[in-house]
Amino acid sequence: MSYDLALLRRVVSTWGRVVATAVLGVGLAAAGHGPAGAGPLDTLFGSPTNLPASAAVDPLVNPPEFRSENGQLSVTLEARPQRVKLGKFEISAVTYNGVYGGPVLRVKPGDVLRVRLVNHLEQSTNIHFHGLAVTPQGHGDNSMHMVLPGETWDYEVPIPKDHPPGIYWYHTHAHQFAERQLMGGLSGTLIVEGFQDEVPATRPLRERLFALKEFQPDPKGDLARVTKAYNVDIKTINGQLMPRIDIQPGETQLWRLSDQTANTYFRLSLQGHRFTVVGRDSRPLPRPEVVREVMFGPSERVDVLVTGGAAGSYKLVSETTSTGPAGDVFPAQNMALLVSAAGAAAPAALQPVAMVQGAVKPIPGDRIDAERLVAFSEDPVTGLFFINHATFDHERVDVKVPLGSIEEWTLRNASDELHLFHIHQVPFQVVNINGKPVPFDGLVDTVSVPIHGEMKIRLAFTDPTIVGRFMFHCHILEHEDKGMMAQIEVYDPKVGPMPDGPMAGMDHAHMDMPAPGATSGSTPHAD
Amino acid sequence: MRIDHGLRRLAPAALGALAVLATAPHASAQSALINNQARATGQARAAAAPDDAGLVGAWPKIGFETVGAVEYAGMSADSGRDRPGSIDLRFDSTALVEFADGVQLDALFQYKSKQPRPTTDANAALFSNQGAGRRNGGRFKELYFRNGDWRYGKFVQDFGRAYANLPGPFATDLVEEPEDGYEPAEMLGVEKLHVYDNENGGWSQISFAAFMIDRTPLHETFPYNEGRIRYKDGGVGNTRLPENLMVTWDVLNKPVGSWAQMNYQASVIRWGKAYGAERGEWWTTLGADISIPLTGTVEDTLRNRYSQINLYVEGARRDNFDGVAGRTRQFLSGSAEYLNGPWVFDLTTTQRWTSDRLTGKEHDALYTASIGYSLPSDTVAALSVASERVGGRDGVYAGLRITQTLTSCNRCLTKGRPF
Repeated sequence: MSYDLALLRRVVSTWGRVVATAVLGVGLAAAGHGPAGAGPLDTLFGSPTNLPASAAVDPLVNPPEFRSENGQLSVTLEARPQRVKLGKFEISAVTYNGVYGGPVLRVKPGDVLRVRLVNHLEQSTNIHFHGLAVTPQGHGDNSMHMVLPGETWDYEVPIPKDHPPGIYWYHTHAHQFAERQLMGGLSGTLIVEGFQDEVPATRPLRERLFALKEFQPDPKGDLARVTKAYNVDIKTINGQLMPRIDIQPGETQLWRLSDQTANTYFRLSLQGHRFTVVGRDSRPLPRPEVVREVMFGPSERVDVLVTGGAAGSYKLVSETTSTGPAGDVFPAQNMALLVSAAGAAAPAALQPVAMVQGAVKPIPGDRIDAERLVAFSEDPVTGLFFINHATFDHERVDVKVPLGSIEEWTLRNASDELHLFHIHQVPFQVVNINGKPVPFDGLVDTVSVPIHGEMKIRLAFTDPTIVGRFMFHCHILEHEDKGMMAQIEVYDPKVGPMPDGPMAGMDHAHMDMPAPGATSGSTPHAD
Repeated sequence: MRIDHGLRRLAPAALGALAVLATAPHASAQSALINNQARATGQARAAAAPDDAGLVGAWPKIGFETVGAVEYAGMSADSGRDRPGSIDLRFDSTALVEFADGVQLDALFQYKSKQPRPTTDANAALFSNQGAGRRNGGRFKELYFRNGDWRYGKFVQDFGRAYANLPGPFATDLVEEPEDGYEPAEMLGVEKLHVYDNENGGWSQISFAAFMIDRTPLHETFPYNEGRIRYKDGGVGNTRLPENLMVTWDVLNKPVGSWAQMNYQASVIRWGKAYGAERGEWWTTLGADISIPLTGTVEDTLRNRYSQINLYVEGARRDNFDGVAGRTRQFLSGSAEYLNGPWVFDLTTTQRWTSDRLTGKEHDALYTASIGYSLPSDTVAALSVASERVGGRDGVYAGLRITQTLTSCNRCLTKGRPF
């Protein structure tokens, strides 16, 4: 074969400039994927959410808090649209009681949590108490129940006396609307006290709450019609954009991080510092881990220790994250500035960090009653997301489990992006990933499944409190809203499962009872 | 019977069915029950109309997305006319209206800015899909109604996957379109899909379809309008009735070993005899691909360091090619793709053999190599080179393509405020 090489050279020369431009762009973009700080591409295009250190003026504060008294916490949460200022941005959010960062609920094991939800929205909404092993029935943690516009609903959630303490959270679980309502702001931190007793070294430490949220506004400040990370993406801590966090050199603080975003993964790094991870998903880790980056996804919580470095300022950065070839890329953002400066009193030295023996126990694997498959897949044509080739249906119970069972489930990711398995009411143990055994590392309620991979988890359906119907789903809420959710029923084997179809039968016993006498008026406590 | 008359008769019935389905009590019924019980206990004061209780404002939903590509490419032929570098535009816009779970209307509008090549150009067949050579313009490539596992309307049949799966801008040149390749496009028909319950060995499904070529105004193009197809124009699939039948069996994401997944497909189409043809064609295909993650932990992925190899092979055969008894056309395509974070490298080939009792055997071949980079803004830049031999003519192509996905609406609510 002989070709006209002169012509080919002309062609190459002409679009050589085009290629050079593309290569330049690609190079800049590649640099944007590097560690330590927001990528040049973000700043090149002037990402307005990525503020410099000089913008960190306001101290980080915890949102208003409601604490239980005399064994109960009664609070009214009013969900309503609200204009909210986030730095120089003004957005049209949707909040509980006007607090974008989310009111904090603090209870103790054995308390009764009563929440009256008032829906001032034009859509249905509801509340899920994420991670709590409580009843899913009636007025309990019943995510099936939708509260219509203008309606009220009283949740009554008895917290068992032996309930694991830790950081939990509550949020809207209105199927079809969950992604946008959560992104709008409908969530808050829920603390079951006692974690510090399980990790005694943390008792004297200052506790800071980090409720991480995201909002993607359009030019008018409304939530963008298409919620994609390449739009303007405002990531905040407790509703604050680029706050200042004060610490003394050598002081150790307990930071309680909760990802209350709809879709965003975080990869947090702190200049010149390491994190000591002491807890995940409300439970202490058997062995603390020292890491340079803390990675966690939507709905996951992480307890970390941070010890202030030499006097100076250090940026807390959310590094660029990707959820895979078919997923999203979340741009880097400076989240806060840690300012280390000597105080009046010298900080106490940190005691050796260890979990109290027996605080978290592995789930016995000597008797597995059933094995099941949970396959996550998706269809790019219809835009639907599936669990075991089906989208969510209120009227279909996908899994029925007799109380007392211990089961092993294989989670399979049959797609080109991450999925984040979460099951209500039931903590679980990760047994292996892609066939490789995982040493016991505590219990969690959420876990990411690797692309094209499988993992095995072990679940104990042994707590009679959880009898009823509830959900398991992908906690990337874009996926959940598009179908990636299924229903499970845990039933008393002496009674048998409920009849198929609507969940009304489950609610009868409770609906016949007088509505719980929820009262508002618990006083928010200042931090 | 002319198909457009048939559609006119069907239209009122279809719209009626659509309206019934759109208002059918489905998932919302359960929520309505609970809410009614709640009201009975005095728990809540009534607000919204009962018919959309629980999911107020959830339906309908709409989606609109465009994948646009700008390509700068040129070709050097070993003899005859070259094609100097030129810029071409292509976009594929999808629109989706969901009326309820599983009830939706889908549309795909495709535009290619191809200019017709002179018939005197001996190299007109070289890179015919990527360069000039065919009048194309814009048209509705798909417009169909989906109700659960049924599809009705105009859509590309699920036969073979090379036209969609071969990586790189030029790699599908020999397999796209129904005339020369084996993409059953421009077909109107009905399809029933059955998904098997057990997913242990991957997602397994079988589909059945009956269809015929689109002779409606949907085939008309803009701005190079070729006009509507008539029965007497002939061509594969151009039968009087939707008597072209297809059966396709797919297995998707079947686990292989501890950490890989594969897809495979077997399919057959029996085409009816078109006007002026000796015979109806038979198409058969068998293909598979496997994705093997190399660095694929969750941590790797979050750091944008996920990497994998994808290997793909597919064979297809057209018997009675062009309606001529004993004439065959066979295809063999393969690709190897390496993906590492935002980078993609791929090598592909398509081999095509055409056999005729009178003219003998003809061998066409295409080889491509591409390198691509994905930006966070859903932008992909790809640089490709390709070598193609068609009908004894050889050429080398080089091109840069920038592809941008623009999502205007992603299952947007159409009622009320965003919250």
